[in-house]
Amino acid sequence: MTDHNQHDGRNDGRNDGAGSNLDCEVASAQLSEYLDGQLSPSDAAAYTRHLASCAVCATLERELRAVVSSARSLPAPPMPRDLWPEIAARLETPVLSLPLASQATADTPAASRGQRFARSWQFMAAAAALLVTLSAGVTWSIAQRSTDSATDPALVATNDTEGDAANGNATNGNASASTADLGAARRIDAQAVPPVATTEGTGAANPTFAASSSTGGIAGAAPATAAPTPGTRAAGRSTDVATAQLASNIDAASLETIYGREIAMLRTVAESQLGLLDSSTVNVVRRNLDIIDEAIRECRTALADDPNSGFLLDQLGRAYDRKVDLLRRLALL
Amino acid sequence: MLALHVTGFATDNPLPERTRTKSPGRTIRRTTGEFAVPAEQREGHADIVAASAGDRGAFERLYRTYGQRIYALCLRMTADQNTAEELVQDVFVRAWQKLDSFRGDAAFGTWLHRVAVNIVLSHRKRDGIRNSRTTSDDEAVDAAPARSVHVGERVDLEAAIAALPKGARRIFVLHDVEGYTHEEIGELLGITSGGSKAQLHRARMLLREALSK
Repeated sequence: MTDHNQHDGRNDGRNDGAGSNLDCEVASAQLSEYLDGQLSPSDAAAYTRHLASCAVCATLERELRAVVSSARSLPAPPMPRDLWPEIAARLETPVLSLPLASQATADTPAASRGQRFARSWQFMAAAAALLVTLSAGVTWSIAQRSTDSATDPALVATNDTEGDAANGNATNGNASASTADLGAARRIDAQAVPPVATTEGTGAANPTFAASSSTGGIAGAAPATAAPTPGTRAAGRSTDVATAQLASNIDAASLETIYGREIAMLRTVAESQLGLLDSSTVNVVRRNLDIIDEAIRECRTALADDPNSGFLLDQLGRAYDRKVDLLRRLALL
Repeated sequence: MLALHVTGFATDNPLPERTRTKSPGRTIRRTTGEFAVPAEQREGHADIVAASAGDRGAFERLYRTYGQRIYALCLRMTADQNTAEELVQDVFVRAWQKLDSFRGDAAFGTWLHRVAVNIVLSHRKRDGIRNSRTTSDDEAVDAAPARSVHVGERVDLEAAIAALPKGARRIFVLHDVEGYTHEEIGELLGITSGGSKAQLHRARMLLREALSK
């Protein structure tokens, strides 16, 4: 083996007789750039001259070149098992089946997908807000339960579900809510949105409370990939209708109401989690929350001047999403 | 001299010609994130269209075509089989959800690869937050390897990559295995291209050292 360290600097500053003043330490540091062709022509030429006069550096160059060459021709390792059944199961749950009530009769796959992705910003904001409402409730109850029962396989499953939601899928307004997240949301049933749930809602006064309490110890703890049952489909329908109706009425005040409750709830859990973290991490978290709050303030101020701006409303929703996302992550630590 | 334990580890072969000159003094990779899908499998346009329309059978065929490469990426980036399997599922579920946004102006494999990279990096960020541990790129370079490589152990390149520190590993995989440029890596990871270069060099040196044992 070549131990380049043993000769580092041996050629420091000396002319190697081939017109190169490159010393070995510099040569070693620049080797990758040389291999990748990222040195200037004159530097590359000097490097080449150095290699011609320094056997140790030349050996190092060959060895590193071999590493790079091998990496570029690595065969893909075989998958240990077929993952399609699990992927297919996750596809079984509708991604974000939230057609407007008047369009709920879509029947062909192409039609339903087309409609699914043809939402207005209002519709997307409403869907995101609804999902945040539902999933944050589940997050809250998970965090609460985790203090009572440390190990519960079902809880772990739900926790993972929320992990996906925490990735921002459900709230980034691009219809990429994870299927698991929506599955959990749907299992909560339409009580979560009493003002607009028309089929199964029972008029719970507080959506948040309904979401968390209706889990009955986390109803959403069923496997996230379970095929939808008739019951969940019914709940999904009412959720669809709820969301559709919510979409037509969404405004800044609605967003603040919806998110405000969830943020307050999550913040309680998150604050207790902060006590378990080191001070530097806590500082970072608090700084991030301050930044998000500032964004929310700016959006609200701007909306006061231009209350009909879809863009501003969207930005406000996104800022709230980030805050919920951050708090949820904290709550699930 | 390096003891060569890797098939095809030819020390005197020149590097594969994978760069082209875009402008004087700057070279970029031509094959960023592209898959070396066999010609007979490249005819997936009909499947892409069908999958976009909701045909799960067609989407399964796309999974059969690209799944292994996605798994390879996930496995090398995470160095954990279980995590890689979960991420592969996430990638294809996400791809299914976002197929409508694939406009065909890039190869499907390239698009899917981008989806995969974003999911893997997103997972890593989430993982880091859950562990209440943030590691800067510089710290990652100096961190202990994910898996120790004992002196005298015969390791192949895959094992050596898995043993790299996390930060160095992801950059090595993205650059040397997957063909991303430093500029692209910088964008993906939120670091400078200089930082990416430094990490890459570190990774290569560590691999050389591991393979020489």
